[in-house]
Amino acid sequence: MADENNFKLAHFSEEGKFFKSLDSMKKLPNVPFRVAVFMYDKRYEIISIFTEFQNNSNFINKFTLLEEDNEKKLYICNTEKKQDESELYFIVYKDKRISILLSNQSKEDWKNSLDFFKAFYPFLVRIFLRSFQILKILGYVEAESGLDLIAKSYVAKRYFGSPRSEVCYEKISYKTAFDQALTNNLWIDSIWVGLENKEKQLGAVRLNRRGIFSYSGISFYQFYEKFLVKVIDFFLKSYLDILEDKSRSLIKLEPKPIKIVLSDDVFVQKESFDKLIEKIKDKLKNWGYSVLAGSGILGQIMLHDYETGSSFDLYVTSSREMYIVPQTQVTEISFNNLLAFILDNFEGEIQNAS
Amino acid sequence: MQVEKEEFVRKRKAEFNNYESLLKALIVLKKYLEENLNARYYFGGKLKKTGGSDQTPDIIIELNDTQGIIGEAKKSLRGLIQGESKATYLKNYVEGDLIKQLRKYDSAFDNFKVKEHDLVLLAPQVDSEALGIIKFDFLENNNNQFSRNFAILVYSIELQANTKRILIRHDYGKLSNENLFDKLRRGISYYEGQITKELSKYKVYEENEDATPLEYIMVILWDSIFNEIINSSDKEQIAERYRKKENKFQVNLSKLMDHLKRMYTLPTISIDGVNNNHRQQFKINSVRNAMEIFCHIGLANVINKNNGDILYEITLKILPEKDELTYFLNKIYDLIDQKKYSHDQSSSEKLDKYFVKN
Repeated sequence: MADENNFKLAHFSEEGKFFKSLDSMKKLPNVPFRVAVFMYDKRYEIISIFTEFQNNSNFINKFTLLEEDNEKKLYICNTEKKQDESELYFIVYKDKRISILLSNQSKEDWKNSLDFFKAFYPFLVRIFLRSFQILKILGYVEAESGLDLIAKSYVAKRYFGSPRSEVCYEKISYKTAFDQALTNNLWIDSIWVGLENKEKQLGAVRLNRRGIFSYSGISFYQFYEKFLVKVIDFFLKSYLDILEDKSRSLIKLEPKPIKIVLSDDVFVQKESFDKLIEKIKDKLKNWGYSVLAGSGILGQIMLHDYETGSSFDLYVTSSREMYIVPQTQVTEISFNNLLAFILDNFEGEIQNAS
Repeated sequence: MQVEKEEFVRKRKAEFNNYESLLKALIVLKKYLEENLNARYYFGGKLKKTGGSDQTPDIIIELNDTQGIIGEAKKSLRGLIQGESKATYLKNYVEGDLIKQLRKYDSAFDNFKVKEHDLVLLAPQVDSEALGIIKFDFLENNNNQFSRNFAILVYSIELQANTKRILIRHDYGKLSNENLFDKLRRGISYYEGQITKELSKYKVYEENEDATPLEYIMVILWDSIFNEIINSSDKEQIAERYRKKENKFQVNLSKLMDHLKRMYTLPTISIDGVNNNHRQQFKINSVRNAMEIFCHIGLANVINKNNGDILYEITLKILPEKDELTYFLNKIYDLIDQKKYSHDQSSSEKLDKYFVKN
């Protein structure tokens, strides 16, 4: 996998050529390569949005097109006050409404970069994965590459609880880590995995449910091919059907509810519903809500996102069932944001309910 | 003062809860009748009678060509007030109000095509004192109140095995349609999850004039309708919010009415009997009152009034509190309080008075 010759050969392929400049990005000491994956509003050309909506943050002041193929465009981002040799790249898919941010920046600069994109929220939002999807992605990588994927550490969450970090002192496979979490009623939020071939460590990757990743010891092209393509595929396959074309309007009156079946009986205790309201208040910035019915355990809320203008109804109808009904002006970005919030706090299966 | 305010907000929310429970019962009835008995169900509308006055019952059901149901739906039945004798209650409330209203439906109507119909009263099961007196003190002692079959149906929201369920069942009397009568004696029940689509589409019914809580209309307007009217998710609108932290726009009361009716109300029977999907639930008064409150709390202005229509300018911006319903209720309380109305009335009466005096 990390074979130097193979890696160079890859640059003769169309894909490889596209990624050549990324692969030559310099590895800075003690800094992994970092990646974030976004979904953007397909109605608009995202690069022109950055110029048009230039706000307080000038952290990135220019996007220059470097490469283009049928599928995607590669930009280099010019950041202000650059103090090291770090670079920042932005890949935009033409048809997939997905974009990728990639860098060798320090932790602090990377945070500034992420904040820059966060400020364009109504137009783009980070993708969101579920725990089982990360497990599946790792499973495919293992099967394809024949490498051993060793869990180095993970962060797990529980309902209404704060996240728990676990460092794996013993050498365990990623599968064991997922099993461990499950046994303790937790689900994996992010995992750091070593890539080993016959006891020899080749590299490491970190996968996070909130669309943030890092890798070291392998090239971007390898990370892209082995991991990112699957991440994007999973996201699009499992969510497009849920997110797309759900808004109500005078010409589309029929509501299209989605149902979330939780993995556990979550809403059983007296304050479970109130805790959900508290989370909404706390985590959904610039949203408003109205509690229409609430027993402490179950209930019903109207929600609305001031930034996109989208409105939703949210019902908790049983100890393990929630329904979201998109109302008016619902954008995929806003809906994704709401779903990510729900799934960040409640692990479950989503399906179209109508 | 603060205690009174909290009490006002709490009471309004409790009243709203009753409103929402009846809505669920109506939706369950509609869904069952339409999906299982192929019946047609309307919430309200005008029934015409040659030589008599028009009636606006809450429930109008066409089961088939020959059988129908007309009746009243109540989100609550009041019990005895302190100091009130049972005799006064029977005379004033049961006979003078409930039964009197139902008697008005005890005749044929020109635009109701069904040959014969039964009468029903749909009420919350929890109001057992009122139901007990109606059944055992009134109906048992006063036979033949109506010239057709009459039944009391009761509804309740149950929590069964951690799942919310809406139940409607027969409580008293008889219905002509054997199928439906049999089903109601066993109970019609749906899980709330089965009706979320309908709940999101039919948010409003008007049991009688001004029955829809104003704060609810305000929330629907603020959350959904205003945004829909300006296409809030479009780039131009987002750009305006970026620059000015708000969207300002003008809209007519008639346009708001049209959006509310088409997006959020239960179908009513039409006056001419032609267009059965005609929707008339929102009364213009309720929406005007809701808009008036928006004006009072600085989120809207009246630009002009023309031929009964009103042009408003609305400022859509982030409210100081995330809990919008509570925010609006607190504001409404302040408005009432500034006018110094007495606080011994129920919160709905207080609001009514507020609008009468304004």
